[in-house]
Amino acid sequence: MGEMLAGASIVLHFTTIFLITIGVGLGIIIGILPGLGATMGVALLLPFTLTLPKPDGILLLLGIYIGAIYGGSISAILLRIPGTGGAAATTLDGYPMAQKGEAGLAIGTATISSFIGGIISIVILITAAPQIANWALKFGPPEFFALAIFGLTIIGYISGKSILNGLTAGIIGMILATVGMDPVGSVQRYTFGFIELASGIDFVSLVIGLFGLSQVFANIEKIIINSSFKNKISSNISRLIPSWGDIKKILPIILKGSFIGTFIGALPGAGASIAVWISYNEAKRSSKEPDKFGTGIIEGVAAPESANNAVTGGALIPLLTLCIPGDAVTAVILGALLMHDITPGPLLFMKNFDIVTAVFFGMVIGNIVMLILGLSFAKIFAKIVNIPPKFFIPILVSLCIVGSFSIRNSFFDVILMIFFGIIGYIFEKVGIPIPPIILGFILGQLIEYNLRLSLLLSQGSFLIFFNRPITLILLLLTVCLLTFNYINHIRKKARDSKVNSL
Amino acid sequence: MKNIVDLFLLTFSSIYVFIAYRLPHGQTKYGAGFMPLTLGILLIILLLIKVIQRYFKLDFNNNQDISIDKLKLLVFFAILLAFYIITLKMVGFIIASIIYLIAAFLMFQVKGLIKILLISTITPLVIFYLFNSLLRVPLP
Repeated sequence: MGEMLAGASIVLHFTTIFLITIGVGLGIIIGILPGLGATMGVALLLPFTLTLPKPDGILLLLGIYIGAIYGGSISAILLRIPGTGGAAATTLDGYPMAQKGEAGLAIGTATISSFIGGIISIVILITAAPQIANWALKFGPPEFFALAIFGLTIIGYISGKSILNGLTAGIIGMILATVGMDPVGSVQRYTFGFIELASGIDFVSLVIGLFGLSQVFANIEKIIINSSFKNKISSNISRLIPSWGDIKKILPIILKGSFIGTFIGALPGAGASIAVWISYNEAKRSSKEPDKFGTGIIEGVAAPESANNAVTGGALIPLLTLCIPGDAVTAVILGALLMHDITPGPLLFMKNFDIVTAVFFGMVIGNIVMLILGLSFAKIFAKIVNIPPKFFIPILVSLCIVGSFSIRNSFFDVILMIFFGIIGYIFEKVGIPIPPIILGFILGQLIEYNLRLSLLLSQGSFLIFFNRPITLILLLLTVCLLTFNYINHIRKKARDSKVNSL
Repeated sequence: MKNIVDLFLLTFSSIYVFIAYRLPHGQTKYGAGFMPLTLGILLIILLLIKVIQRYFKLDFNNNQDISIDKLKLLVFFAILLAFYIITLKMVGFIIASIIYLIAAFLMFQVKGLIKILLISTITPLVIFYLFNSLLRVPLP
């Protein structure tokens, strides 16, 4: 209880609340602007947070995460372009509502649903996380090795069209993680005489290059060919708050969506883009008038919106307790936590429970701020949708350069960032997905460290991974999930080629 | 495009494996070179599977190749980026950013000279103030 209060006292400071507010506000703007999204937002603003005190920097990033997931729904409602993958289902009813002149009501419903979804997921996070962390205290290097390998299975979900390309990307990420000092024997590897590489490839340069600059290049293409950004929409936002009758109608849907979002978010690899569809389908299935879904009803906005913000709390359960990121954004947040000298895992709950509770309270405040900002500034946010990319792209490039430079005041990191930006752009062009690279980079370090420690313990015998029940179960689960993913992909491909041939 | 990238990756992974062989392998065989060697070989296997798949036309991905128009703007932008970094070293963040932003806005055909000048001047000043004064991170 004392540690809970200590966590609360860290957060309940003017500066901290101010930083969370800035984070949520920036997150909403980033989420609204099509082509950016939560991962890029967190990556781009990560260097800004490194000089801030321990929990403040992380809370700012979590604010961006919460804000961006919510912000994605505003462009989904007004433009039919989901700002983030998690807002895709919102377009189905949100956009028709905007067409009927009910854009305000759609945004209001999205705001309230996101708020309730976010809060419920944090309550579940607060209840479940310490229990899981307690259980994970028994883990040694073999278990952490198996857990990190299990974490890699999410590559199957974030690979896009081809698992093979996803695996290639994951291995490339793990290869990048081998640059610098070897984690066990302190041998220099692949530094080629560059002192800057002695401590490894700078995570900020890597992440800003892959998620920031590569997206800038992709957006430059859109400037030439894409006309979707030219859609000037009238930001006529009238009534925001749903009536009491509407709230009574959507409350059960919101509650269901919140639980679905939290549960799906806690599963490695599932994430918001899956949760929203499950929640939407469930709301439609249990509705008395399923035919009305897709025509512009608030139930169709409440279901995905409660689920996508509930994912934020759910995704933090495996991240904070087991050090497993659920998707690309949480992989970047994991990197950020490590850079802030906070190592997630059961020991974090033992040694720094005040920081864990600060994260919990910070997320509650973040959701409250999101509700207030969402309802107060809906009209302004609606105007941001109209900003064409040619205005913000040059500024983003400037931020990418400043961000990568600021970590070590080194132009080497800027060059590295540009190199990864070009690589990321080319990889996306040839169908090699970017998120598995980041996942491989982060988990690669954990895998090598724990694998080699385990082998030192067992004097070189791999049997150590099969003698321990938790390790064995996790490795078997990994094989099952990979096989399941592969079969699913083969089926999907066969289905797609059938459709194409018709 | 895909073939070039695969060829590049195959060359890269071969050099990576070659260096991994020369790293110390430690008393338990699982030293500093163990992980790079495993990963390098895995990458080569994956790339070979990809090449074989493409040879037998099992690759269903149809990714867009870069058109000349897009390439032109991207190359111009890359040159501008290089120019930005060089000037950043020479004249510092504020002046370099102002020049770069004006050039970038003109390249993207943003209309309104006063608007361009205002955004190009205010943005670097705000970023500089934010980093130097609030976050205490020195910029060039």
